Amino acid sequence: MQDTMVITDPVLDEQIHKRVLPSGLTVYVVRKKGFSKSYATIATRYGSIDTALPTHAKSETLPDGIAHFLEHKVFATPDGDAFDLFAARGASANAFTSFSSTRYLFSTSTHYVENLRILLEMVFSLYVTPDNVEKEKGIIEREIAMYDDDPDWRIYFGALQAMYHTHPVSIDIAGTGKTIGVITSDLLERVHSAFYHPKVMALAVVSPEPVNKTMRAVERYVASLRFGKGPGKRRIDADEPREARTAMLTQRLPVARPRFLAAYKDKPTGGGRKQLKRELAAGVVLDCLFGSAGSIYLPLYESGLVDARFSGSYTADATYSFAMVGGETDNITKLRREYEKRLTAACEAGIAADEFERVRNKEVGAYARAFNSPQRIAHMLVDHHLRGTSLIDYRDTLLGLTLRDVNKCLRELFLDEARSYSIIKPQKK
Amino acid sequence: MVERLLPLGDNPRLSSKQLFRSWDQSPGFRVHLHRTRSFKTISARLVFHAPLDAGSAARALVPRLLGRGTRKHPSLRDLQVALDRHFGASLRGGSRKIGERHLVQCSASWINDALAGSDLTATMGDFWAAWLHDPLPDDDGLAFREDLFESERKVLSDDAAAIFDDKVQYARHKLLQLMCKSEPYARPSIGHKQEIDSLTRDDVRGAWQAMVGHAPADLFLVGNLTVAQARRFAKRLALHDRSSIARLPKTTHQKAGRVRTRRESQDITQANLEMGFRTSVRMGQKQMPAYVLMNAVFGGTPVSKLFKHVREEHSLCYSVHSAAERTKGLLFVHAGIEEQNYAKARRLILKQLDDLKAGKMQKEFVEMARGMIVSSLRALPDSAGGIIDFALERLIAGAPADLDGLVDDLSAVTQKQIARAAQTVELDSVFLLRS
Repeated sequence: MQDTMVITDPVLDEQIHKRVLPSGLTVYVVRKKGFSKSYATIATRYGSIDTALPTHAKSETLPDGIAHFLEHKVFATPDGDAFDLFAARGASANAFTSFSSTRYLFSTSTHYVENLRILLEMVFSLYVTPDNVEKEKGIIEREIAMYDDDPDWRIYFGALQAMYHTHPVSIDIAGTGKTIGVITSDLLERVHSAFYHPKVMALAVVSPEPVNKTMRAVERYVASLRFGKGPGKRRIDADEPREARTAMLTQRLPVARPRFLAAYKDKPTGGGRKQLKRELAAGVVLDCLFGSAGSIYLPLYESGLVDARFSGSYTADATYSFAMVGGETDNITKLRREYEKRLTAACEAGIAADEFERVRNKEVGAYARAFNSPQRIAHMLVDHHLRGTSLIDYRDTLLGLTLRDVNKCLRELFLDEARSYSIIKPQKK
Repeated sequence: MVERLLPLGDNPRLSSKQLFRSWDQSPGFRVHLHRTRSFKTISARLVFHAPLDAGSAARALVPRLLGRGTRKHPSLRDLQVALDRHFGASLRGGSRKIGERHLVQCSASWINDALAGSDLTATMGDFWAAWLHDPLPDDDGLAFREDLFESERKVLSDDAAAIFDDKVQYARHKLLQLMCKSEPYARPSIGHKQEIDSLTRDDVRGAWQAMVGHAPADLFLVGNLTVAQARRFAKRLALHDRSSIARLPKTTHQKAGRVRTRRESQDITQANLEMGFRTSVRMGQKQMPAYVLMNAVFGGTPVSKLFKHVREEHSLCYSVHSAAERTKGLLFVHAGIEEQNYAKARRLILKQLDDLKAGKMQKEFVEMARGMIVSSLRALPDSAGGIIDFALERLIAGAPADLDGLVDDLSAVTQKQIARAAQTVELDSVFLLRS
C-alpha cells in the first residue's frame, strides 16, 4: 500500500487524498458525503499541440487532429462501445481533447466501482482495427464541419492563427478532413503507447463512497496492467517570438452581427507555481477591466457598443499562454477605437487597491462555490496536476497575490506588438 | 379556458417523497424549500408566471432593466460591486418558456452564512427586494430611465437577431415558426424581434407592475435553511401585498397534420436537419414515464437508436439526437449532415421511430437507456439548479415533484409500453438548413 497524502481545507471542511501508484499513476480522491453522484475523470498530458512522438529520437510528425481522433477510438473495446458498457451500469461517459491534454470522464449514481474499472480498462488498452478507424473518419468529418459553422470557434482559431508563427496551439484540435484521412490503426497504436502512460496521467474521483474503497479498487486494477518503460519527454518544437504573426485576421461568415476579438500572446511560464501565479494575476486584471463591473467593459456596455457577452479570458500551459477579449458589436471600427483608448488609459492608471480587493474577494467565493460540484472538484484537481501545482498552492498564491503583482501583469500583458485582432464580418448581401 | 397554477392553499399532493417542502407565503406567492447541507451556498430562484403571448417581449425586458440599478445602487457597477463584495454573490434575471407558459425568473446564489461569517442571507434578501421593487427612477420619479430602456431594448433586440448565428438553434427556430405557426409556442421567450423593437417604456413599466403585483410567483430555495429561516427570507422579498392574482391559460395542443417540409440555403459547411413531431402524451399523464424512456431509446442518449444507427452504423452525422418538450407534447430530432444525405438521413430517422412503434428494440439497449436515466435522476439532488428545474416543470403541469416515484415508475416500464408511447408520436414538420 502506497502512502496517501491528505490535503485539508479546514474552512471548507474538505479533504483531498492523493496517492502515486507504483506504475506512476497519480490518484486523487475526495469523499463528498450527502451526494448521490460519483464523478471520475482521467487525463493524459497529450493534446493537439503534441505533433511529434516523444519516444522517437528523430522527429516523426504526426497528422493534425490525431489526439482527438484517438480520443474517439479509445471508446472502442473488444466488448463493444464503452458508452454501452458505462450505460449498462447507469453511467454517462464523455471525453474531450484540448491543446495539451485529453480527458475521459463518467458520472453515475450506481455501480461505481465497476464503472471505474471500465474507465481504466478503456483508457489503458486500445482496440483499433482498419475498419473501425475508417468508419470514424466520416463521423469526425461531420464534427469538423459542425465547428466550421460555429462563429465562436472560427474567431477563436482565427485569433490563434493570427498570433502564432510556429506553435502548434494554432492548429485546429480536430484537424481537417485531409489530415485525419491519413490516420491508420497502426499509427493510433503507436501514439497510444507513447502518450497513454500512467506516469503522465492523473485520475480524480469525487464520490460519496469511502476513500479507501476507491483507492483499493484503482490500485488493484492498475496493478494488473503492464506498461512500457515510460514516455519520453514531451517535445514542442516551437521557437515562438512574443510578436504576433499578423495584426489582424478577418473572416466573412453568415452571421447577423460582426464579432471582435483582441488576442494577446503572453510569455509562457514553463508551468508550475509560476504559471499559476500568472494565471491568477491575469484573471484579476481581466476581471477588473472586463468583468461585469469592469472599468472598460461597463462604459462599452453602457454606450451600446457591446452586449453582456463581452468578456475576457486567459489560457496558459507550459509552452504557450494568451489572453483574449471580445464579443459582438454593431461597429468594429468604433469599438476598436474606444477599446484601445480605454485600455491605454487603464494601463497608465493601473489597478486600484480597492478594485484588486473586490476581485480577489470574489475569487475566494468562487473557490468555495467550486466545492458544490463533484465535476468541478475533479477537473480542478486534474488541472492542478497537469500544471504541476496543488490546491494548497492555489490558496497560498491567491492569498499571497499583491497589487504590485497584478499591476506588473497589467503592464506586461497588453503589448501592441503581441496583439492580433480576429474579426468576423457578416457576408455581403 | 383557464387554470390555476395549483390550488393555492395546502398542496394536497404534498408528501415526504417530494423534493421540496412547499407553503403559501402570501396570496399568489408560494415558497418551496429543499433543505440540504451538501452545498457551500444557498441557491434561490424566484419565478413569475404569465402566458406566452404578445406581452412576452415587455416581460423579458423587465429583469434586464431591474439589473441596471436601484435607488440605493444607482448603476450597473454599484450593483455588481455590492455583489462582488459579498464573496461574489450573484443575482441575475432572465426569461424562458415551458410549454406555453412564460416565465420571468431571477436566480441568486451566495455562500452560506457560516462561511461568510455574517447574516449574508438577510443582506441578500434586502438587496433582492430593492432590485425587484425599487428600480432607479427618472427625473419624474418614474421607474426605468429612458436611456437605460433604449439601451436594454437594443441589447434584447440584438439577442433576438443572434438566433441566426447559431445554425442549430436557428434551424429549430425556423421549424417552430413552421410547425406551431398558429400556436403561442412559436414565440421565442424574449418575443419576436419586431415586437421588441416596437416596445415602449410604458409597456415595460406596465409589465413590471403586473409581474410584482399580480403574477403568480414561486420562490425555490436550496441550501442549509430551516423553514423558519426560509419564511423570514421570503418575507424580505416583500411580495405580501399582492392582489387579483392573474389566472393563466392552459398550454394548447394540436394533432399532427399533413407533413410540411421547408428548406432554406445558407453559405455553411454542413446541413442541419430539424424534424418536429407531436404526441398526445404530456407531463402529469400516466404514460409519461414510458414516453420518457421511449425518447431515451429513440434518440435521447448515446445508446439510442439514432446514435447507434444513424451515427455509428452509417457514419452520417456527428450530432444526432432527440429532445422531448414534455408540457406541450412535442418531440424534436436534430441531425448535422452532408446535404446529399438528406433523404437517407430522414428515412433512417423515421425508420428508427417506426421500429420502436412496431416494438422492435433490443432489450439490452432499453435497459442501458433506463439505467442512464434512473442514475442521472438519482443524482439530480446533487445540483441545486437541477432539482429546481425538475420541480418547476412539474409544478407548471400540476404534477408532484416526486423523484422517487418517477424512478419507481421508470423501473416498471415495459417494452410494450415503450412501443405504445412511440405510437403516439407523429411527424408534423421538417426544416432543412442547406449548405
